[in-house]
Amino acid sequence: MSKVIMTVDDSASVRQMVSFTIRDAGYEVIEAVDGRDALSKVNGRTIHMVITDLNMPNLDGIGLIRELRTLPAFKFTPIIMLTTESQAEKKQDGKAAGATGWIIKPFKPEQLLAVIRKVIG
Amino acid sequence: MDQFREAFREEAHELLAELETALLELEKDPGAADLIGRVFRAMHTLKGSSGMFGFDDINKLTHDIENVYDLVRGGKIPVTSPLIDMTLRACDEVKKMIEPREEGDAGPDLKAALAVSASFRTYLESSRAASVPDAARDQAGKQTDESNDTDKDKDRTMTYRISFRPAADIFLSGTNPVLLLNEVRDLGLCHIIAKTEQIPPLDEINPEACYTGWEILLTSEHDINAIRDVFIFVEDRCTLNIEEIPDDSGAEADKEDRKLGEILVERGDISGSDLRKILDSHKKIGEILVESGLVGAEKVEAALVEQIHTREVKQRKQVAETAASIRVPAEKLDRLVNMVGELVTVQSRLSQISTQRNDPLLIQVAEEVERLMAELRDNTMSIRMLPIGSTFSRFERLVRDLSAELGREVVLKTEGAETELDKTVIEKLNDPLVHLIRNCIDHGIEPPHIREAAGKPRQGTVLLAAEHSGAHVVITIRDDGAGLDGEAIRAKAIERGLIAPDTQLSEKDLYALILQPGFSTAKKVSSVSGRGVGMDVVKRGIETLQGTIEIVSEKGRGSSIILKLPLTLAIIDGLLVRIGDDYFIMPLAAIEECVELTEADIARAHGKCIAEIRGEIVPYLRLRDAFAFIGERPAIEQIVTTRINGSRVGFVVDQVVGGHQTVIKNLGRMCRDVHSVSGATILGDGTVALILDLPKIVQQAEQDEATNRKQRGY
Amino acid sequence: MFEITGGEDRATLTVSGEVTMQNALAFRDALKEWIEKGDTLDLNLGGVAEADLTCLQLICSAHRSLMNTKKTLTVMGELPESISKAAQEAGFVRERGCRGEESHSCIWVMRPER
Repeated sequence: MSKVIMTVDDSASVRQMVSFTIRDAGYEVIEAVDGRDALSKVNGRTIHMVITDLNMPNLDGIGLIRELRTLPAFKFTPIIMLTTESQAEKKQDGKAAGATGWIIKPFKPEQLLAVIRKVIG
Repeated sequence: MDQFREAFREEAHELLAELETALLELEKDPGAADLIGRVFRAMHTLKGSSGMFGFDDINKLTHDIENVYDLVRGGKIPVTSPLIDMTLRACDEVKKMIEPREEGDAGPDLKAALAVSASFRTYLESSRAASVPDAARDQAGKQTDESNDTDKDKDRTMTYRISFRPAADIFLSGTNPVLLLNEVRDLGLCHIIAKTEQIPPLDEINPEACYTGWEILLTSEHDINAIRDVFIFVEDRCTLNIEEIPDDSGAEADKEDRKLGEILVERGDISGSDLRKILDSHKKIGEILVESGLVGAEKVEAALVEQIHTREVKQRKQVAETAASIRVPAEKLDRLVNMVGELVTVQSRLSQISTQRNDPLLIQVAEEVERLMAELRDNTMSIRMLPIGSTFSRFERLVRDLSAELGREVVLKTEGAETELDKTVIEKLNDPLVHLIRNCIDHGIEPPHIREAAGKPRQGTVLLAAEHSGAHVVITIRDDGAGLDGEAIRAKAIERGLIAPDTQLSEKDLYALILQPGFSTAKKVSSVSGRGVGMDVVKRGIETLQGTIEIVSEKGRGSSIILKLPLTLAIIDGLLVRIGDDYFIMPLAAIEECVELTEADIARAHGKCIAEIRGEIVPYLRLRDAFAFIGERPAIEQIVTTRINGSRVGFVVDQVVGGHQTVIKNLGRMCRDVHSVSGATILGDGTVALILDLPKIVQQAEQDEATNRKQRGY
Repeated sequence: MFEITGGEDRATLTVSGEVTMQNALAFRDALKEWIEKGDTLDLNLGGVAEADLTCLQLICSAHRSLMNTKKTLTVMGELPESISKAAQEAGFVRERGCRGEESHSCIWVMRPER
């Protein structure tokens, strides 16, 4: 059974690129356009990892991480945030909220896959 | 990637529209936090995705704007109407920049965009009270540089002692520390021991906390930063200690394994005086230490593992060393080769004398010596052989740097890296290969957009292949670029006066023109190639190695340059021939067969220098004439047929004496303008035989023929 | 899945399926109940399909709880692939037991090759 990764990003192109890359690497993908959408899609599914953008309308990345960590099923789930270099404080906030790690935008598909391997093996 | 670029364009249009609406509303209501948020977010998304899909200009521009709006959002600077103006102008520039470009279109003028960008920076400078955090940059750089760091110091290994203890709540951040251990394992030879002494009994344990720490011993060619990078996500959620263990492969390695006690002292677990006390009793030190309570069992365990690790590293090193055997200065080898050369000469004298004496006993010994000598020669030569791979790997870097410099996307593939060649040949091959590869990338591989337009993959391929072919090694440099433009070469050659306008040339000869001095077809002179000094240098380099160059090309599909090189330069198998009273050596590798040439044969050819050999017409050259020998030719001569540059040519000599192991002696500076002779050798009886450079002789004959024709008015 | 059978003197805990962080609390509770139940304790791990660090820690913890009691813990049969892999990866496999001389009862001590 392939592992399931959720990608949360309001930018369709980034979402598309992330999905394409991880699907290509043999994972199953669930896409969500923002934090609220993500929360509505996690119901009852086993999700092995979440990759989320930070700046998003409705519910932003930090908020999403915080919400997810309160769910029993997401207590230990790796959550990776997509940040840009100018968001050093955001990174700290994200870690405090329970993020596992981060990827700095822009990134290449290989970098994304390296991080996925790092957190879900 | 292109599908994503298209998606990005669509998205960028939406974002820009959203930006404009938000900006116009913001102008009416400059204090509205939600509007500022919308502007910032749109700008931020634009920046993030533009960088990802290669729109670096947009990325830079939006970065400057984002910095300003970050401050606006933080209430540090107010929204003003000039700011809105500037932002709207920036939107217009971004719009221009995302338009798909036609081939050859240089893209929009970036001056306007740069001006906008600069205006934002000035705006920022003038209004910034507090500084924008720049510390993040270091972090960003660190992550992207990761891949570069790891391949430094490839051939040097270091041993590291890593102690890693994650915070108790590490699982709650989604981190599985065991995966990090696996990542460390991938870096090299690794021993990992868990420190479990902190795991409490069931009554006290929190099942979701991490009580385990690890001691890791890693021998790796990666540097310490590569190890730190493994733990980058958990830096502030663990205690991590990495230290290098001094490499004791030198003097100490000759002694015994490191003692357990010494390791413990070095690790700071016990003191030296404690160690001495314990060593006076005669029990296993680990047990004593644990019993006496001086050290915890865990620490002894860790030290034991370190002992095992160092032992294993040492073993591996020894295995590697015995396999790689001993290092000898190249000079000693050269001397050995020279002596073997002399011996070969002496041996052939011995063979000659024994045949003359006709003493069965002596002949037996001489034959034995001959057999051993051949073996000794081959073995000695093989010592000087190195795999060509070491040279190949150097070119990867070259290709990477060059393709970046020239805006090409090129991947270098290599085949036959294990092919062995004489050390001196490899050394002298380096410069020509560098030049040929440069040429491939500069002239051969097209820029990515042109390749795409031609329906080829963006990324060009340069293949560097080596293989054995008889006594030669064939090296092929092939690219899948544009191929040679025969017409352009022709035009240039005429312009440069290399050929007459009406000269008819075969494709092969046409391509060979690019090897002429002063030839270059590239329109623009770049730092890489194109000064026309390259290819003739390559040609000369290959010729000094007794090699040949052949060029094959298919327009639009790419070209191949094929180098054929002798395995070694010191000793060759030759064919000894006689003309008059003089002896010559022909390199055996090119020779196909020897047949007789009688007066009758000559008469049949009606004065033309051709002979029919096994149904095939073979042109021949009479060396007696070529070298202007005086005296009558014998009634029965012999033709040695060879294959030179793909065609059969015969050389007529008075007599074929037989095979000869030829130790090549250079002719020296005095004779460097003599082209038909590549060297000399000393025969068994002490006479000198010249080694013929057959391709040169043919070339010379062809040239003479051409001049003759001209003079005769053809 | 955790199932306790027997009782009085001999109690067996049969563990199967995934034994990871997600059900670490349940595993702890099962272990606690089991070691209370008997003096001769058999642990059957044969059906464990997946194990992680929390699983290893809890097995160590159970072992530790019994150290100063008269109870004996025996792991039945060979360790399943899942657990030996987890122990190998997490560096639990060792030369000697965690408390010095009790190496004969530590399940992670390297056993001679069969």
